[in-house]
Amino acid sequence: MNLCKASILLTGYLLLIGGNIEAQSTNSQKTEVQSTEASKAEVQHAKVHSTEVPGTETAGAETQNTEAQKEKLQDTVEQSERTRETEIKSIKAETTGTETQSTEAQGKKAQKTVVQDKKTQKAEVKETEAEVQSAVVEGKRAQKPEAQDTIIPGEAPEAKAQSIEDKVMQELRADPSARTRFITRSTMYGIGFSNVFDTYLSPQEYTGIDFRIARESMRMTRMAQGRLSLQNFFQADVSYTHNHVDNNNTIAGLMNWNYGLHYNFPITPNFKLLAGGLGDFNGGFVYNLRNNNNPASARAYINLDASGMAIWNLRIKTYPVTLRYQLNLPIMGVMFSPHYGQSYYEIFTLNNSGGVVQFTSLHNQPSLRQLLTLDFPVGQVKMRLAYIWDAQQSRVNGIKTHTYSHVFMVGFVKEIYLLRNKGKR
Amino acid sequence: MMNLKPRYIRQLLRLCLIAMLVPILESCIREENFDNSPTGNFEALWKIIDEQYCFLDYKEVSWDSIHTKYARLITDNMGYDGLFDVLGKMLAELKDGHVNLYASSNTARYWDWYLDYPRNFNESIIEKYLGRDYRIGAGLKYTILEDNIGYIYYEAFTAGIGNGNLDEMLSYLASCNGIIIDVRNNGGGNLTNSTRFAARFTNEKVLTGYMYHKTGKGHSDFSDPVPIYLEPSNSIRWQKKVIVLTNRHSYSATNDFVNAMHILPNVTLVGDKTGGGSGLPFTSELPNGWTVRFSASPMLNANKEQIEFGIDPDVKIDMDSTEEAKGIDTIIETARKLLKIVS
Repeated sequence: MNLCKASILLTGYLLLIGGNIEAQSTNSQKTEVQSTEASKAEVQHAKVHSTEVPGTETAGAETQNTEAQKEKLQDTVEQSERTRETEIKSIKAETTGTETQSTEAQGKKAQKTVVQDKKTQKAEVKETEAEVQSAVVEGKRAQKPEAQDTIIPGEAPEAKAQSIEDKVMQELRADPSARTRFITRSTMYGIGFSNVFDTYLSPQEYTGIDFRIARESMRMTRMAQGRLSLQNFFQADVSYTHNHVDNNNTIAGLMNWNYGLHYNFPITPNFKLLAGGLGDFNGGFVYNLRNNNNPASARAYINLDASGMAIWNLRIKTYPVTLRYQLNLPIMGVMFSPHYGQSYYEIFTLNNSGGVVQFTSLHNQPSLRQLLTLDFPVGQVKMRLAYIWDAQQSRVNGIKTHTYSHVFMVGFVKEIYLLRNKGKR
Repeated sequence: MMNLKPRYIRQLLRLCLIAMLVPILESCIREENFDNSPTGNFEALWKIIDEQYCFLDYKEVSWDSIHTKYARLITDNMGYDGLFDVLGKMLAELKDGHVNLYASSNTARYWDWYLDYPRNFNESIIEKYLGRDYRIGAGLKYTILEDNIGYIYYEAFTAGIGNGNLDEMLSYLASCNGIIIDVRNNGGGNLTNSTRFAARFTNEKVLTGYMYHKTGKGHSDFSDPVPIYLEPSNSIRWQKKVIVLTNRHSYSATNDFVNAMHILPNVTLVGDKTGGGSGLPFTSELPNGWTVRFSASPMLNANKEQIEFGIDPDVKIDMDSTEEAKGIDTIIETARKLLKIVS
C-alpha cells in the first residue's frame, strides 16, 4: 500500500477514534451528573471547612456555611450594640456634677466606640456577604463546565488561578463578550521532504527537500452564540528536488492561505471537535532547470475546503499539553492549467487563453492537507511542534500533477488579548 | 436536521467527512512508471512521442510499426551507447530537426533536411561582403555595400535584438536604396525576436499564420487553429524594398520570420527553400535522465498550410561554385541586381 493511501486510511481511522472518545465522554458526563445529584443531597450536611471536593457540592456547602456565619455575626453585632447602649445608660445614671462632663465624655467615647464597633462589624458583614457572592458564583461555574470550556487551543479550564492575573484571565475567558478578544497566534518554521510531479514538464517524479514557514491565528467569534471560531492560516514553501538519477533539478514554490470558520462541538471540558469551511487560496510555480519551451508550470488555484479539527487538552502528570489534528479537504474550486500540449507562448503572447481556468472538485483535484500540532509550555513561552502532510494533486486538461510534502515544524504560540478602543471621550 | 440531537449531528458530520475521503483512496495521481532499464527507457521514449509528438498524422508515420521494428533491437544487457544509438535511429524516423535525444556523451539528431542539399552559404565570403568596419547591434551585423544597398546578416534568432538596436540600424541604413536581410544558416531561436524584427517592415496588422496544440494523447487530438497576427512596430519602419536570403539551413524561428516576411508586399525571398521546422518543441525526459526534445505545437501559414517542410523562395537560386571560388556569393549578387532593377 503506498504512502498516499496509507495516510488517507489513517485519517479515516482518526475520525473514528474521535467518535469513540466522544462516546466515552458522553457516558462519563452521565456519571458526573448522577454523582452531582447525589452530592447535592449531602451538601446540607457538609462541613464548613470542606475544600477538597470540586464542583457543585462544595460551592453549595460553602454557601450554606457562609450564610450561617453571616447570621451569627449579625447576632453578635446586635448583641454588642445592646451591651454598649446599656453601658452608656448605666454610666449616665451613676455620674453627678463635675463627673457628669467626664462621664458624658466617657459616654461619648463609649458612643464613639459603639459607632466604630458598628462600622467594623458592618464591614465584616459586608466582607462575609462578598464571600457568599463569590462562593455562589463559583458554585454556578461548577454547575456549567462549558462556560469555561477550552475556547482557544492551549487553555485548560480546570487550571487553578495561581495569581490575580490568572484569575482575571480566567474570568475574561468565561465572559462571553470578552473571550472573543483572545487571539491565539503561532509562527512556525519547518523542513521536510517533497515529491513534485508535473507531466507538463516531465513524466518523472522529483524528490527533495522542502522549506516551509507557517503563520496561524485563531479566535472565537460571537456568531452562533459564540460557537464559531475563526482561523487564518498562511504557509509558504520552497522545494529543491532532483530526478531519480539526480542529473536534473526542479525548483518549486507555493503560497497557501486558508481563511474560514469552524463550529465548535465541545465533547468534554478537555476535548472538542470542530467542523467548518475554509477559503483556500494558492499560488506558485514549478520550474524545471533543463526544459526548453516548457520550462515552468504555474500553480494558481482557489478552493472551498471542508475542514475538521480535534483539539485535546491533556496533562502528563501536571504538565499541560494541547494536541490538535486538522484535516482540510478541497471540495470545489477553480484552477489554472494550460491545455495538454499548449505553450505559455500561445496563452500569453497569442492571447489564446480559452479553457485554461477549469472547475475542480474531488474527481480531478483529490487533495488533502493534514496538520498535527503539539503545544506545550517551556518556561514563560509556549512552544509548538507540528507535522504537516500536504498532498496537492490535480488532473486537469490532461495534465497530471502532484506535490506530496511531509514537513516537520517548530514554532512559538502567543495568546493575545485585544484591548477595546478607548479613543472616544 | 434541526431536530437531531447534537450527538447525532456530530456523527453525521463525521460520516460525511469519511465518505468524502473514499473517492480519494483510489485517486493518488501518478504516471505509469518505467524502470531504468534499456527496455524501460525504450518504452518511455516511445510513449512520449506517441502521446505528445504533433506530426505523426501529417507525416504519416506508423509509430506502432516503428515500435515493433526497434523493440527487437533492445536487449536488457545492452550498453548505454548501444541503447543511445537505437533510440536515436528510432527518433530519426520522424525526419524532424526539432527531435533530439540528449545524453551527457552525445546528441542524437536528424539533419538530413539541410545536409542532403546544397549548402548555399560561405562564411568567409560573407565576411568579405561585410568588410572590416561593419556594425554590430546585438545579434545583427550590417553594413552599406558600394551600390548603396544595405546588407544585414542575422546569424541566429537566439541572439536577442532590442528595439533600440533596430532603430539604430534602420536609421543608419535609411539612405540606402534597399536592404538585404541574410538569414541563411540561421537555425532559429526565439520567436519573440523573429516577430520583433518582422514588425519593422509592415505598416498595418497582418495575418501571418496559425498555431494549434495537442489536447490529448491521441494522434489527432488537436485544438482549433488560433490566428497569429503581425502588429506594426511603433518605432522606425522600413518603407523601401527588402530581399530576404534563405537556404536549407534557415530553420525553426527563421522559418517563422520568413513566413511572416513573405506576406509583406515589399519583400522578396531569394535563395533556396527554407529547412522548415514549424513545430514548437517541448522537452521531456527518460527514466535514465536522458532528455528528449520533440515538436509539440504546429504552426501553419496564413492559408492554413503546413510549413514543416519549408517555404519556397520567390527566386530560386543556388550559389555558383565557380563564383564562390572567386569569392562571389551568387545569391547576394542576385539580390543586389533585383534591388537595382527595382530602384
